[in-house]
Amino acid sequence: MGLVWSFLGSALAVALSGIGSAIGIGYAGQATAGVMSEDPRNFGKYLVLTALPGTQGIYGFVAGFLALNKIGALAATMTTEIGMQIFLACLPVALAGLFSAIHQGKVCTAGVGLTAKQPAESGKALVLGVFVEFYAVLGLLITIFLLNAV
Amino acid sequence: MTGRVKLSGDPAYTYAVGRVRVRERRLLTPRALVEAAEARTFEDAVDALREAGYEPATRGGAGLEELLARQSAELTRFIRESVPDIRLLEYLRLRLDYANLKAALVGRLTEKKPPLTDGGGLPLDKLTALADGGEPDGLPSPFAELGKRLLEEWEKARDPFLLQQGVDRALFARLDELAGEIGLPFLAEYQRLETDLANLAALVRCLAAPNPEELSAAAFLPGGGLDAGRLGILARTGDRGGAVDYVGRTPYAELARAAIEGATDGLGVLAVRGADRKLEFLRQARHAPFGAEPLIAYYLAKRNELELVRFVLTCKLNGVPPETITARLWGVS
Repeated sequence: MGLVWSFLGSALAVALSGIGSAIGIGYAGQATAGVMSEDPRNFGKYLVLTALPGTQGIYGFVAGFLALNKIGALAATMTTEIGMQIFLACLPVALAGLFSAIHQGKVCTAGVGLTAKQPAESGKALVLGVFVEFYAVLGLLITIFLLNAV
Repeated sequence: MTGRVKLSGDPAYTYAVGRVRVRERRLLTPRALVEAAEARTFEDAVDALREAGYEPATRGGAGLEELLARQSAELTRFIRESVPDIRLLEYLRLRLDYANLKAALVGRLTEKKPPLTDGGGLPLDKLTALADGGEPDGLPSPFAELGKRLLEEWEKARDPFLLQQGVDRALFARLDELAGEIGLPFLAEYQRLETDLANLAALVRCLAAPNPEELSAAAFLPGGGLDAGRLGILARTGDRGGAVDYVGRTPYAELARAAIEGATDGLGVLAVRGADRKLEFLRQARHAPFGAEPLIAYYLAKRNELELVRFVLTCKLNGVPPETITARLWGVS
């Protein structure tokens, strides 16, 4: 039973963060495609804003990988309690990744609009997106600390 | 009434909003319009507008009509490509369709070539045929039925005001119905504002007319935030004080007071202030990253721009002095 809980935690860390990133990039990507269809200049500025919500998916992947390592190391002594600990340790990055990626996608979409109107202000749009990123990083850090504590 | 409304945030329009953001940058600035208005000649005025894409293929009035038709068709093409909800496209094109129908009917009755605008949903050849004396049967429903009914009413009363009012009533009824069907609070609120402004203009017109009883019978449109029945009574009795008192208790107090009190060119000032109020309402969609609202706001702002360009360039063609044009543009009397 411990293995089931730990695999579930690892899977959720990757899946939820990935879903959030896909939605977030979907928003920003559509807005960028719209802007590009009218004015193909400054693609580099839009590329960063579009890619930014994708980092949560990477954080989820890293957490999932660390959880699997932990599962591998503890496989011989795995109990339900340890499995649930790994499951709970994976939740911060899974949930923070899911919600922060979606909201970061919205912020980046607004940033794409800002850049389309005032290309010189793209740096400010990026900074606003990074603010949301901060909470996904916190989620990943807590997941890493919790996994180390198992 | 006419305040801020909750925007939809529908992500289905994200691509279209991206396109709108770039296009908003190309909208005419007030400065360019003033430069065009103050230009020495028609050609100089066109030069001032060239940066925003206004470049006629030929000189003179024909070039102006061709230029505006091209811009209007391009705008409609953009909206058709961008709007996933076909009802919204119909809503946005409706004004143009009814304006074309009105122009065709008036052209038929006055035996003049109607100024039809491209970009609507009605086939221009059918409208031209109607203006040339043909039957309205070739038009799609409900325009064919409306055209037939208005021509029958014309035979009875021969009143051009009633004819125009008939078209406006049908337009506003359909706009109201469509805004309800689409279910966007932004659109419903904008529709209410438009109806109120049309009713205020009708009130001012009735109060200034020598025969308010006849004029007020079909002058007011239902569906707005103002009480059409109350406005009808005030207009019929010519009660200017009562009208000032009633409108003074609505959000249109400042906007309409001078016009209702009977100021010179009150209707012109009301029209300009009404357009400002509409633009102010549309501005709340300017920074929304999602939803149909930025698209609606852009379409209406661009249509308004086309009207202003037509006004300024027609004035330049006819030698109207710059100060008269700018005064009319900004409502300064």
